[in-house]
Amino acid sequence: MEEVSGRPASFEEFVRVREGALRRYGFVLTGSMHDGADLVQDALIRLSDAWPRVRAKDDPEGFVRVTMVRLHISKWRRLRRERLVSHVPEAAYSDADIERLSGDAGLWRLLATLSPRQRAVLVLRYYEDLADEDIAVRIGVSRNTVRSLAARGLARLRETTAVPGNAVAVPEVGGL
Amino acid sequence: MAETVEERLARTMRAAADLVPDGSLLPDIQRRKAQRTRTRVQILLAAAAVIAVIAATSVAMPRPAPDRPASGEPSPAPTLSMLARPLAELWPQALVQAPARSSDGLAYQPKLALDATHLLLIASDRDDNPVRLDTYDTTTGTATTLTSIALTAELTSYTLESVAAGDGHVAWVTNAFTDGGESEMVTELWAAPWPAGPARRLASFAEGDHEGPSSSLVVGGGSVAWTGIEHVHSVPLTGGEPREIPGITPIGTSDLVVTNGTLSEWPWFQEIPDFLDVRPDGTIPSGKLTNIVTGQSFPIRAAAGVAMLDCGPQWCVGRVLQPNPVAPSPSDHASGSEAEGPWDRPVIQRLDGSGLQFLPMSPTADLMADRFAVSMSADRIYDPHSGQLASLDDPARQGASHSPGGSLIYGEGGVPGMWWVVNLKAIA
Repeated sequence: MEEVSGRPASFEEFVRVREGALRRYGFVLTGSMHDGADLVQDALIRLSDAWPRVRAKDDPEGFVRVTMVRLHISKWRRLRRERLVSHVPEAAYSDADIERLSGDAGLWRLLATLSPRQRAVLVLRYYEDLADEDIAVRIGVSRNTVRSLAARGLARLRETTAVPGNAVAVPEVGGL
Repeated sequence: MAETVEERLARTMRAAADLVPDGSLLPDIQRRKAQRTRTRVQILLAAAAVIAVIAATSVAMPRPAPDRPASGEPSPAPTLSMLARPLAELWPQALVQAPARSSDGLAYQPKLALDATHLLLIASDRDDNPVRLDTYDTTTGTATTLTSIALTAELTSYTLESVAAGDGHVAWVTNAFTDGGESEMVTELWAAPWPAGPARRLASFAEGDHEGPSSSLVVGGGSVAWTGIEHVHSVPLTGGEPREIPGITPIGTSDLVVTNGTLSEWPWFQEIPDFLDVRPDGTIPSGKLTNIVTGQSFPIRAAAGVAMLDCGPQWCVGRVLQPNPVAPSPSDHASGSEAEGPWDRPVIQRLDGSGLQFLPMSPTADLMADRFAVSMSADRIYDPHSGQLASLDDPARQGASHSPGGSLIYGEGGVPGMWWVVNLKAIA
């Protein structure tokens, strides 16, 4: 196997180099700064347990991302409502912040109405740019299920955004 | 051109991601790991008490065969230079055909061997959606419908996630969706008696339910068992409440993705030591095979220098990664490249490390039907019971598909409109 330059020497180095990208992924996956940071921490704790073998397989980032998406869609996680004190600042961002960065704040809110699995499939497709086959492996379902989940998620977004002046009853952005 | 919702979505997700502020996660991770260590000691002490109770109360429970893994057979001579014989000559009864389409035009895919003369086929429509499970009698050439897939009227868009057979039944797991705006995903576990009988829904799980089947599914002893996210569960084929099997954790104590435990054949749950879990002294920790009915367990031990990759209740395949005292000399290489060391070979062994045999194939081997070592491209099949090696490299047979742990190999070519199938259950 080809030696990858810049391969992290230690778990701590991996976290330092990749935590920014992983936290962004956690936020897009969950829609909440708190939940996203919590999710990254959960996955990184698992990575630190499995570090020797995951590093030997040369894909610690893949391990963390698979762990994050699977943890997120498991009910176990959604039922576990404990909130751990975090040093991550909870940004009180607004719709205007998303719009300033060329995002669609209304669509971002609508994502919160999808089931965790539907949302995960759309994040993996349109944020991670993964093919349906790879998404199927990541979340542990068949390719046809991925297709159904994506089609249903997109249909819901389309039908809700298609109604002019539609007021979406979802929590305030940043208030989760 | 108007922007599509997909494009808006990609743009919005990237914008939202950029809102995440900087900050270090390491202090929180270190604090939580310290907390968890304290909690885990308490959990392990409690679990040990539960297991002790199970062990004390399960002595009188019936134990389905095989009661214990086979072991202790003398290791035959190294087999690297043995010649392969065409599979059609060696095991003619195992090489059969199955139709590529049903009489009503659905596409058939061979899924598993039910016995020496019957296959289970998945019938799918033109959009690749599963419609039925059919059985196929390879002696008479007759296909029979076992069950439809979409059985719950309130659900749509059924997909098939896994199928298993045993104990005169076929069990399968589906995902489907509720209609309407919310459109929740529902996972169902079904079983039907084979050859015929009504399908019964054994369990239904809401999206994300941690008891829902996540990977392995086995049938036996009047029950279906599966691995969920955190535990192994079972339910009687006659219906009833699913129960959690205590003392068995498919994901170890903390590791969700590198799964180290699986059900491969009723009633065995196996935890195979990861081949990368090499201790500083070069040894590999032993694994464990547990009977989920009795709770009795047996160690899985790699032979000297062997890194384990996959096991069934009887056999394990692995790779010799270190010099081994019983390794054949390099001159025994029949087809291996000169660059390969004499020890860099796939092997098969009993669970306790006995009966080690070097496999005349490379680079890796898959264990199928808990007995056959099948090369990656399925052109070589080795039977450790008889010491025979079959070749399946007839140019007419193309694109061989096989799944590790499965019971058949199949592909296209040969007779038009038919699959060729190697039914491993037809080999005595």
